[in-house]
Order: sequence, then structure tokens, then C-alpha cells
Amino acid sequence: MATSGTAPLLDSMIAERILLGFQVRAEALQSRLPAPWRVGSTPAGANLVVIFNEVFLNQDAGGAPAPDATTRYLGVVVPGRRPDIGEEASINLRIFAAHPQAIPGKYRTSFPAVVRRQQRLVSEGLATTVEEHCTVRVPAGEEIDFRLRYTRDAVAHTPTRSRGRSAADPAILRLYRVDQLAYTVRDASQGVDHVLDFAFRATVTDLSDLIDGTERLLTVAASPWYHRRVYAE
Amino acid sequence: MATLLNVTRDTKIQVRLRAGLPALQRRLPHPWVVAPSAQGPHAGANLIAVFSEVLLRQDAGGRPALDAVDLSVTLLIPAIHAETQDSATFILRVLTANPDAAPGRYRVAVLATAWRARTMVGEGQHTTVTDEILLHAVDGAIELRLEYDAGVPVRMQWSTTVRSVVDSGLERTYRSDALVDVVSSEPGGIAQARDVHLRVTDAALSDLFDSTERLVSIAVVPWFFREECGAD
Repeated sequence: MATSGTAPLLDSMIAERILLGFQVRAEALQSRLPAPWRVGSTPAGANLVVIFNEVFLNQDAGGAPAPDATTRYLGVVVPGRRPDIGEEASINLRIFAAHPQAIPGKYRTSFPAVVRRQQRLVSEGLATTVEEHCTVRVPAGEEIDFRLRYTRDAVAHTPTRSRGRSAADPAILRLYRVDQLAYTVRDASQGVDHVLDFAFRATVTDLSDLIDGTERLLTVAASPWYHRRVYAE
Repeated sequence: MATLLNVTRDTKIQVRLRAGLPALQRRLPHPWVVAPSAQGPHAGANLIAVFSEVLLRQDAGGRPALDAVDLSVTLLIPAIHAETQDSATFILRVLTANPDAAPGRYRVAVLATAWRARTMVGEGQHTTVTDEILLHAVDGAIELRLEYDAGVPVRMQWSTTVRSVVDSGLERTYRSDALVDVVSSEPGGIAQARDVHLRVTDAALSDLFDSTERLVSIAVVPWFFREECGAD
């Protein structure tokens, strides 16, 4: 079994991702977090991150395909911090997953959904235009739907390490080691904006206190090449 | 001593063909001989066309390489050394969209006008992709069109020795880690691809693509990592 230092490998994922960073009402978010966790923010100021994952392959610790080997899902996470011990972690609020084997999931936050994605890439020479349309439909018929069109040029190699915890059970801890190529599509704090079109709509009751029309989109990022290994502490 | 030269992260479509043996063999330096895949989903293939969309190539220090991004097609011949039985893959020709990649380190690359349109529609665990790639160089074009249903890819790690047909002394080692989804295989009985159209009008390849060539397999690689090593 692979380890990171002394931490055992739990699983790994190879995927493509789209990340939308929002600023939403902090009090609504805070009410979702278990004490003593507090709402933090990304470097660009987002306090809620919606992540669409196109999973090419999930593998277990031994390298075998996981039960939800290929899937797609949408995750909703909050950058959290524990002032008393100085810990920072991404708190997983909710996952809407296409694969039945991904319910309730490693964070115990996953709901079943019909997850649809349409992507069109057009490359001319070394320049690429990307169109995305992602829809998540829960059994009650409610939806999260977003459309995005942007131009893509040079991506950056940005390996990261982070901690993931669950809003349903903050004792669940997963240590992420990520090797990825990332592209900043929009980041107002950096003056970057490659967005040609964007629309976001969410009618899911479960998120209605967070996505209530007052939310502001701050960042859009894409990771067309993503490899994540997850370790236990 | 072999040292790391560069690292590439990209996506690929590998089209394996069975082409006329004399036309392939005369391109290889003595004593190398064409060595088709012996078994598996690519059995019988002696010519490989690899369409690559390079997302990022970095030099050994982690900086973006001159040809950091690219859209290209590379023609390869699998071969074996008749005396030592060493195996190698010979790079025969490359059409590239990046001016800094021509003639390239294998000295077989020509600049091309490149265009690609790819549409992916996925719902639940089902995914259908249509892909069109066209590279047009001075001597002609290479074009691929296909539609396929994506399957569960296989994680594969392997090492390959790569040489150039114009300089067999140039040797590189590729260490690759990839997800491979074989969507078409005549020997493997896999038929997830349809409306496959490969058209080659590149005059430098006319004896290989004389309409006697046959499609053996198509593998889609949505995630690819490669370290290229060579003599320092």
C-alpha cells in the first residue's frame, strides 16, 4: 500500500474539473458548519466553491477500479478554519453524484442526481475555445445548471496539498495531494477574465439559503488534467 | 547517463494500422526490422498515428518548454533490432501546430495548420464523444474524424525507447503513465467507435496510405503523463 510519509493511501482519482468560487452570505454558511469551525475564504475571497468533476477513473488503495470507477458529480465546499487550533480545511457540504455507488459517499454528504455535461472544445492552432453546460437534477426535479464559454491558452502546473473534512461529520478527514494543470478563467482579484459567457441557476432547495440571488461569482477555474491521491492522517 | 529532459501532460488518440511492410521497412535503418504488435487489442499493427493535444510540456527544471502547448500528429513504427532483439519505436513524421516544435528534436516535424473540434455529451455514467482533427502541412494533410462511446479506461504505466528514422543514434526513453480506453479493436472485437474516417494526403506518406492500409485499433487517452529521458 502506498503511503505519504506514514499516512496510508485511501484512494485516488483522475478527472477534469471546473471550479466556481462564490461569495455568499456568511451567516447562512456559518449555520451549516459544525462548531467550532468558522467560515474562511479562498485567496480571491470566495467562501463557497462549487466543483464539477468529470471522473475518468476512481481507484482504490490497491489501484483497482473503485465501485464508482467512472462518474461525474458536483461538490459544494466551504473553506473552513478552526481558530482554536489553527487548522484549515475544505468542508464538504454536499455532493450531487451520478453513480449510485457514490451514495452516501466518503463524506456522508452525497445525494443521488442525474448529472449531465456537454463540453465542446474548438482549437485553432494553439488557441482553444471551451464551452461547458452542466446540469444536476435531483429526484424532486430541482436543478443546478451552469453554462460557461471561455478562451484557454497556457495552463499552469499547480500541485497542491489540502485537508478535506465533512460538514456531516467533521471527524472525517481526508488528506489531498493533487498534481494538476490549472487555468484561471476568471479571478477579479487578479484582473483575469477570459469568460465569454456565463450563466448559473440553482433551484435546489438544499442550497436555497446559500444560492438566493445575493451570491457573487468571484472566480472560475478549470483543471483539464487532474490527479488526486487521498491519504488518511 | 540518462537524465530527465522534459515532462509532458496531454491527451491523445492513438490510431493503429496495418500498412504495407516494404514501405515501412525501407524507412528503418539497418538492422532494425518492423515488429508489429504480436497479441492483444493491437495485434498486427505496424504503424501508429498518435494525435496529441499537449496541455503543458515542461523542461527538466519545471519551466514551460518552448513547445509548451501543441496540437500534433506523430507517425510511429514499432521495430526490433535484428541482432540484439532490443525494441524501439521509430518516429517517422510529425505534423505540428507549434512553430517551435519543427523540425523538433527528432528532426522529422513539419509545421501545419491545425484545427480540432471535440464535443462530449455525458449523462450518468454514459459518455459519447465526437472528435474531428485536421493538420494541414505544405505537402498535404492528415485528418481524423470519429464518434465513440467512452468506456472505463485502464491505468497503464510503461517505458518505451524512441528513435528517429533520420538519426537512429538519437535515443530517448519515455516513461508514461496514462488512462487508456480502447474504443475500437478489430482483433479484440471492440466496437465502441463509429463513423471513423482517417484521411492522409501528406505526400511524404503516400506509399503507406495507398488505400491498402487497414485500421487495427483506436485507443483514446484522456489523461497522459510522460517523462522523456536521454543522454545528458
